[in-house]
Amino acid sequence: MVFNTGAALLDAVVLAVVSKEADGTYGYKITQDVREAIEVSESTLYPVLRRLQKDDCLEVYDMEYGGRNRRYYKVTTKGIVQLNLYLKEWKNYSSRINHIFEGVD
Amino acid sequence: MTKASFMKELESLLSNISTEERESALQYYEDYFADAGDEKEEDIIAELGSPKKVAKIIQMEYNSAMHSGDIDGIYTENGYKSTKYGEDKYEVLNASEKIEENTDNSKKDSYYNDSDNMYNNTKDHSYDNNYNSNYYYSSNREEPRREKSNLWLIIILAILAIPVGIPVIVTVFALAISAVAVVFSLMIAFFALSIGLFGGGVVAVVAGIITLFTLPMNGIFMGGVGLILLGLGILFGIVSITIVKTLLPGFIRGIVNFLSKIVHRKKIIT
Repeated sequence: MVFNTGAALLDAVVLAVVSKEADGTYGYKITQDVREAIEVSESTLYPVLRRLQKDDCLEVYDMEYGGRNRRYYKVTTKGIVQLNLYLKEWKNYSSRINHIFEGVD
Repeated sequence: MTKASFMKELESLLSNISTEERESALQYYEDYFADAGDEKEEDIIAELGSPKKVAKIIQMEYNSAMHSGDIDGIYTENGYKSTKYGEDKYEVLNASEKIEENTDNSKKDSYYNDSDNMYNNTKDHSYDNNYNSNYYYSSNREEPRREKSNLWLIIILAILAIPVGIPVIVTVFALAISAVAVVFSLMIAFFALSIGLFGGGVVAVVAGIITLFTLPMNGIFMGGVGLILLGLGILFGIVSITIVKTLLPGFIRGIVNFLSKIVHRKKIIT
């Protein structure tokens, strides 16, 4: 992986991944899904999830699974708004980069 | 390392953050291991590195969360200006490599050692700013300097404040101790009062019954007074027990909270 992922992009990716599940999803699965796109360490995501939760972009709830309580993360309305801002920024940004790269032979 | 010893060490490394945060983090990793399955346990432990690394990542996020304001960023016509990403951001991929043992000074030192690290830290916090290595290095050097001069200012201020500070602190301390002493002695007084009243009441009732046989009127009077004393004694007893049950735990908890707040604040500054 050549390009490093900034914090904002990581937040956006996490929000996008979680938003794809209507009922929310759990830490391990989130990490696996994010890793399909970018290489993150397993220890990277917890602070991100925690921060998004504190910023009210994600909400948590516990549900029983296999005899224990599993914590699920779900996008909030504010989280969706934030995600849309990120998506718009990303479109802008990536198109500018693409434009620069297109001119190269 | 086994998962159990990993988690145990992580727990003790996180003892300096709030209980709620610590338990949330520990629960997250317990769940993570459980969801991954036993066969993945070793791989995960290998990839997490050491409990120290994991703890550092959690603590840094905790500290920056304590300091940052509420507004994450605003959407302006020049693009999304992130008010927080300029300040405290880490290179997420290499974060675990960058964490060195002496990061207690500025958390930025650990992040900016890698020259590949491009994007995030820009002076005006706008994250669509261009990659400019000079910009990046100068802001890197400014931060540690600012931190050091802040520390010196604080030290000088503390030294200058000693002549006034020490008597003030001593007085506050003495007042606190005397307040505690007053509360305690009131409690003891109430107890003593209730016991005394109760005892006196019993004696009076007994004496009254005895006198009944010789001087009936006197006997009845004494018995009555004794019953009143008994009643008052029971009343005061109930009051003092309630005081002990409610005030004392609240008091002790208040002192512990106050002390732990001081300890925590010290940890965050350093």
